[in-house]
This record gives sequence, C-alpha cells and structure tokens, in this order.
Amino acid sequence: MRRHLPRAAALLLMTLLSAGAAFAEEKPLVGIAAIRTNSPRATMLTTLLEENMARIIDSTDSFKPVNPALLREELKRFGCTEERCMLGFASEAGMSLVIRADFDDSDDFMFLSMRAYGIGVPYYSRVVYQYTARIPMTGKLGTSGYGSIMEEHAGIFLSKLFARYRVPLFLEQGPGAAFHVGRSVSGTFDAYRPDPEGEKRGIRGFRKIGAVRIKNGSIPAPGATHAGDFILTGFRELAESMDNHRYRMKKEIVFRKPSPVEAIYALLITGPASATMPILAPTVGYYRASDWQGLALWGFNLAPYLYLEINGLANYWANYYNKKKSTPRDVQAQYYFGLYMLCAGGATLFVDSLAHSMIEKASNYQGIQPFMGNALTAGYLALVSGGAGHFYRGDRLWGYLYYHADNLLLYFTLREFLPDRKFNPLTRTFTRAKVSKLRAYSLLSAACAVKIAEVVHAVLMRDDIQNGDIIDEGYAVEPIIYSGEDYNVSLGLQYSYRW
Amino acid sequence: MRTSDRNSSGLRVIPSRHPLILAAASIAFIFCISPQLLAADTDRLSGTIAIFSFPQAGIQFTALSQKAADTIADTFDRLGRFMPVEAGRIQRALADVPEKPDEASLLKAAERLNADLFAMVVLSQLGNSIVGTITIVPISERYKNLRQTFSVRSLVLMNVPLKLAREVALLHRKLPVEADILERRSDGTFLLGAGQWQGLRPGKYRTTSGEAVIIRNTSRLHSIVELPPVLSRAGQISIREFPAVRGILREIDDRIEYNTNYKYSLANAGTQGVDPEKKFMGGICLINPGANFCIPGYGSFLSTAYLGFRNTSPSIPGVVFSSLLLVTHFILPEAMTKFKINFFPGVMDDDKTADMNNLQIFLWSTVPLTVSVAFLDQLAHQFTINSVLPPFFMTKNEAALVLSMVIPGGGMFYKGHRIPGWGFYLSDMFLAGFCVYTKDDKKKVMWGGIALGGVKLVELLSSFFSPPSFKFYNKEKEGRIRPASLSFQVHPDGSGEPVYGLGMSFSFQ
Repeated sequence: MRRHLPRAAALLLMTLLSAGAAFAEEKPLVGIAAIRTNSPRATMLTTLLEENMARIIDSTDSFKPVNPALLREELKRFGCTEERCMLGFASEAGMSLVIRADFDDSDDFMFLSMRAYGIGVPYYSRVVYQYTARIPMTGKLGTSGYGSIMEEHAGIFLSKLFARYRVPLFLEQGPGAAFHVGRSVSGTFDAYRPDPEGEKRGIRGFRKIGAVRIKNGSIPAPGATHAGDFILTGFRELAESMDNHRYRMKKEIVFRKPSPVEAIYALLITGPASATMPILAPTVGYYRASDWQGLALWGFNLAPYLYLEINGLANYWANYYNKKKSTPRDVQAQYYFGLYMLCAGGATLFVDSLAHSMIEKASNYQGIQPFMGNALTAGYLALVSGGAGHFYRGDRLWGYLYYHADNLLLYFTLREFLPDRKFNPLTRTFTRAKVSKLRAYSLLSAACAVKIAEVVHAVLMRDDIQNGDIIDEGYAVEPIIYSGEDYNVSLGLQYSYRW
Repeated sequence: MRTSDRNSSGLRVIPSRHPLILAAASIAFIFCISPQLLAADTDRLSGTIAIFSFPQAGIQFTALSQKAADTIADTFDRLGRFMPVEAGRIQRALADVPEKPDEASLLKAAERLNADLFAMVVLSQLGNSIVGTITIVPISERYKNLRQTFSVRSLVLMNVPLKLAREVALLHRKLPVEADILERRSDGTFLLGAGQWQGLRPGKYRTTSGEAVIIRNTSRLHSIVELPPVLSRAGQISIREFPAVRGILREIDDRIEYNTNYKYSLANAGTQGVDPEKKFMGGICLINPGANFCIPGYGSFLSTAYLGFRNTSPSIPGVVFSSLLLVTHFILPEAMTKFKINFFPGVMDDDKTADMNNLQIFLWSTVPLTVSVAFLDQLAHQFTINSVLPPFFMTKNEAALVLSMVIPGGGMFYKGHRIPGWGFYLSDMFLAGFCVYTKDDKKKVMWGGIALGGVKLVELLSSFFSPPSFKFYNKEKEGRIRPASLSFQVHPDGSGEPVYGLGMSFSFQ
C-alpha cells in the first residue's frame, strides 16, 4: 500500500497536467525537471535553469513548457525521480519531450548534465540528446550573472535538441482521394508505416514505404500511402534561429557595441605593439593573466621568426653592397621579413596575449570587455598580421595555422623575388641572378589566396565566448572479432557511443 | 523568435481547472488507467541492483558512505547493465533491517526490492587512509558468478567514492547485454527486454554464441528484434555488445586527478597571495639565478622557500653535486690546459686554442641551465618531503615536456625522478659540449649531434610518458587493494625437464 501511495499521487498530478494539455494548442508539451543537486549553490542554479528553459521554450511558439517548479516538486515529493517512473509519468501526462537536468558541484566547477527523452513515436522514451557541461565557478558573480550562464546553457541545449528532434505527422484522409497532415508543411518527405502492435508495451517498429510530396499540408498524389502512415518533420530552422539569437544576446552583454573607431585604434597601435611584442606579450600579457599555455605556445612559435627578424635586421644587406661582397638572397629576404615582423607581424602574438584572457572573461560574464567582438577590427588585424584576426576572435588553433602559413609564404615569396647579387671583382660590378617567375608568382598567388581566405574567415567567424566546456559522453573505437555460425572468424572495427 | 509577453518570471502556467472536476477526473483516472499503468510499471526489469550504505562512526563518514553509494549507483546506471533501485525505496527497505546488518538480513531486504543483486558499501579508517569496501552479492541464479568483494584506499576523502566507482566500471568491461524475450508479435518480430539504456541501437548484432540478430527499433528499455529460428524459443539471449567503459573511466580518472591536485596543491599547503604557478615561474627566471649569484649551489635550495613550503630542508647530495658542477663550468677548460689559459672566455692567449675558447664560452653561457637544474632538483626534494604536487600538475605531462625542452632533464625533475634527471642533464651537456669543442671536425659534430638528438628525444618521451614518482600521488592512482596474488609458472631446468612453480606474493606498499 505504501508503494502505491506516491504512484496514486503522481497520477493525480498527471491528471492535472493532462487536463491542462487538453486545453493547450496542438504544440508538443515539454516537461523540465532538474532533479539532482548536491549543494545549496547548485539548488539555486536549478531554479535559474528551469526558469530560463521554460521561458526559452515558451518563446519558440512551437513547443509548450509544463510549469517546471510544479513538476519538480511533485516528482520529488512522490519519489518519482527514477528514470522509469519519470518516463511513465511523462507519457501519461501527454508530454512529447521530458528534460532532466542534474547538477554536481565540484568546488571550482559545476557539472551540468541535461538529457532529453522523446516520448511516443518515433522515440518511445529514448534519449534524443544529452549534454554535459563543465561550468567554471571561480568568478564572483551575482544572481544575474549565474542567470545568464544558465540561460546560455539552456539555449545551447535546446537549440541542439530541436535540431535533432523530429515529430510524426500522421496522414489523414481528406476530401476525395487526397490526404493531409495536421501542419502546413511543404516539400518531399519520407513516409513510414507502423508495424502491427503487440500485446505488451507501446513500442512498434516502422518501415519506410517511399516518399510523398506535400504542399501546404496536403498530399495531392498519395500513391501507396494510406491513413495511419506518417512523416517525420523537424525544427532545424527554429534551432538555427535560436542559436543565432543566443549568440547575439551574449555579445550584447559581454562586449561594447562595435564601433569603427576601435579599428582605428587598432591601426594606430599596430606598429608599437608589433615592435614591443617580444617583451610585452610574455609579461603584460601571458604572465599577468596566468595564461601559461599561451606563454609556452608563444615561446615555441615565436622562436624561429624572432631569429629571422633579429638576424635580418642585424645583418643589413646593404652593408654587403658597401663592402663589395656578394649578397645572398636569404640575407635580403631576412631583412625585409624582419621589417615586417617589427612593424606588423609581431602584432599577432601581442593580440593573442591580451585577447585570450579578455575572451575568457567574456565567456564567464566577468564584466564588459572593450575593443572586442568587432568584425571590422578582426578583418583589419587579419589583413595586416598573420592570424591576428583569429587570435582576436579567441581561436588559437586557426590563429597559429594562419600565423605560420602567412609567415612562411611571405618569407619564401620575398626570397624568390630577391635574387642573389653577385659581386664580380674583375669588373667591380654587381649582377643579379635570374628570378624564377613561375615559382615567385606561384608563391605570391598562394600568399594572396591564404590572406583573402584568412580575412574572410576572421570577419565571418564567431567570437569564442561560449561559457564552460562541453564534455562528450563516452565513446570508443576498438577492434572486434566475431565467430560466425559457420565458425568463420570475422574481423572488424567497432565504434560505440553511449548515451 | 517571438518575444515572450508572459508574467514577471517569464513563465506561462498551464490553466488550472475547477478543483471538483479535477478531483473527479483524478479518481476516474486512477481507477480506470492506473491498473494498466501499474501492471506495466511493476513488470520486473532484469538486472536490478540494490546498493546499501549504512551510517558510519561520525557524520563525515556517514556522508561519505552515502556519497559513495550515490556515485556507484550512477556508474551502474550509466553503464547500462544493472539498474540501481531508487534511493527512496532502499531507505524504506532498510528501515526494517537491524542497525548492524548481516548478509542474511540484507538479502531479505534486497529480495523485497525485487533486486537481482545487492551491493554493500562499507568505509573504514586504516592509519591515515580511508578504505572503501564494496561487496556484491547475487540473488538471481543468472548472476551468481558476479559475487565478489574489493577494497580501495585513499588519503583524499572524495576520492574513495570515485575509486569504488572506477572498480565498478571495470567490472562491466566484458558484460554482454542479457535480455529476456518478452513477446512474439504477429509479424514474426520479438519484443526484447533491452533497449537504448543497455546500449542497443537499430542494426545487426551477434549473440555470444554467434547467431545474428537484427534490431528494428528501440525504446529506452525495449527493442523490436528479428531472431533466427534457433533463438525464437529461447527465453533470453546474450548480445555481444559491451558497455563503453573507457569514457567513464576517463571521466572518473579526471575527477580523481582534480581532487588529488586540489588536496596536494601548493595553494592548499599554505602559500598565500600570488599563484603558485607565478611563484614557480618567478623562482626559475629571477629568484634562483639571483640566489645562485650570491651563494652558488646552496642558493638553489634557498630559492625554494620562495614557493612557500611549510618545512624546508636541503638535499645535501644535491647541493654538493650542483656546487661541484658549477665549479666544473669555470675550471674544466683550465684543468684541461693545466691552468695555462686565461680564465675569461673570449680573451685569447698563446695557450688558448679556438676550440678551447669555444668550450669555455659554452660552459660559461650554460651556467643558467645548471643553476636551473639544481633548483628543480631541490624542488623535487621539497615536493617529496612536504607531500605537495608541483604547479601545473593538472597538465603534468605537457608541463614536463616543456621543461625538458628548455632545461636538460627538467621534465624528469618535475615528476620527481631526480637521478634520471641528473642523468639526462649530464648526457645532454656532455654531448652539446663535445659538439662545440669539435666544431671544426664535421664528422665528429655530426655523430655528436645525432647522439645529442637521440638522447634529447628519449628525454622528451620519458618526461612526457613517465608516471610521477610521488608516492602520495601514486596511491591515489592505484586501483583496488590486492593483498596477495597467486602465481603459477612452468620453466625448463638445466636438463630440459619442466619445473613447476607456485608462488604467493604480497604487496607491502
């Protein structure tokens, strides 16, 4: 009897929700229940997450949220926190999706796991999408700051969920021979037919029976389909629009409004920043911000180009000319490359040393960051200094790729266009060696192509301001050996991914 | 996206109905639908496990015991082979169990919960270590082979639940999906009692006996499956699909690593103010060179205090050895020329050859490397005696690699391997000195360079891949306690006759 009491109470709540659902429009009903917390701080975040998630779902106009506080309290009160119980509850309450979130407080970090179950066809209570994020909790933020963090993670989770989620639209007999589906959709869709239902359980198989063309919800030529068949339709556009909206909103919170003046400031400081980079980047930049990864990368990536810069400027090629000595092409190329590194090329790592910590602060909502998030500045930096636009956006991998590609192409292009000047002691004149035009212009074209791609990429890419790290679930690739029915051995490679 | 025009909290609550109508609807709902729902819900799922933890001596231990039970339940749930019984039901079942329960009373409680197995978590203190023990007792005949007990130990409280969970995860490595065949359907398919939770997806699988089965559709806990005739009358099948243990192990290891670093970090050991990482960098770049300029050799030990250790005592062999090396830097060219050449590099005289001058420049210019090595050696000693982990230890392999790139043997000292560190330092310096000294003999330089490159490569690989030598840290990384292990071996004696050996080994670590 004691076991049945919570169940009966849960059924009462289901009835309440079902009654509400019956009144609601024909929108998929979404239940949100943040169940597990292990600290007061996590409990506070639970409320913030639920509120934000419900608000976002409501604002989509395509889904309808169940009151999350009510749902959570009732599930907890009646001990229906176990997955099986919760899914049965959601199914009986007429929900299409149920989202469960768990918090695990780990001092400096908070682990947030969210899991969405699809109820009914075609999921039959399967997990549709799962998301685990490690959220840094070292910053001193108020309720609004944590609210923004929860809103961001709720937004990411829901946009990724809606990009995957599919709802069935069943074919119904219309007037005459035509069929229609319950929504105004157009296009060509795969049609499915459910297998016969069994005595136990609701799960059924379904088979693809072909494609149907639908116009404004009507199927003029149904072909082999009949009533009861269904198509699957999704919310990809909605997911994309949610994702763009979330990114725009976050930019407005953490960056100042972009202004062309910022690009002019960047133009003015490019030269001094580039010249002083070898001293200022490690001290004022990386050391001050405790960016040790940046410092190590800076050391290894700068060393070869700093050598070329110092060697080029210290070994001025014109002195060879004055001393009536042959001038190797490398000496000339190093000089001009050194000038580039001194005046513009060094700005790349100067930008990295400052931008990385500013982007990190922005991602954690630690104040408004000046001079960041401006596409014009990113484009300008990408144009004048290899990889600087990408470092400005917070993307170190692309930044270093462009940095090395630009520097190497520039150096070898200079080297091809500056042939050896050979001194003839007999005639006391200099002669220039022949330039390989094919090689020189090929390198120049490659350098220009990389630069154009870099500028466009830097302008169009997003700033890396996402809060926390998203942790993938367990996956494994491993060799397998099967022994078949005929005792033959089959070798294979297995990739498994677990929800 | 439509802007919400809801109430102040941004929520739109589902409209409520008249209470009387609702109550009537609820009663009708409960009486009409609940029998069907209850029947479905109480249908037993095979492979359920009840995890019992009990109040311990002290609040901290009781909380830790509950945390261990929760973590273990979570691990069972994520691996999809044994469904943990809900905590609330376990608490209710334990209400009837005596305060100091024996296995028989727990068995009865587990049977009341319809569990196929039960696990009992017990914590105890052994010296400074906390020992966690889990005993798994099968109830169903199907799982009788799973009976076992294992223990883990740790000096970090929060690592005990994680280490137990780690061992539970390892148990799952070779467990196939055991599923009941629940129903034969009219279209020839079967309803199987395993679904997405067990790791199944639509596709082709093999049973452990090699038959092919095709899964057509899955729900969370069930599947629609096509079976070959040989299996169609079997009550249950085992599918060769194993849990993805690796990802969960990696996650548990990361958390153990984080907890261990937190407990043994310099910041936790009492240093205040500046980050330990900044102090470490400042120590290498500024404090240590300055201290060695004032007191060569011993200055390396004095600079370690800058990092804020509570107890510092020098490693005397390290101080003596590094002092001798510093002397060698200045005296070696003099000794090689019987003290005839000028002491300062670059100042030429009749006895100083160009090669000797090169060697002298090399030795003088590499003094900062030697004092850095001496500093890292003293730090390795301090880290060991103070039971503190070096800064950057969350990324220890990368940090060791970078240190080895910059300082000969640096990565090995960083991980606490002092003698290998000195070995790599001496090898690197000797070979680099040889290349400088024989600069004009291209063949010797080539061979010297190849040898130096080879040694450096071995050093970098060793620095990156070698495990740290700190015992307090390694204790957190060890698996279950194996008090004794039995071994058996066969090997031929001198005349070719086989000799059989049986041995028992004990670990005293």
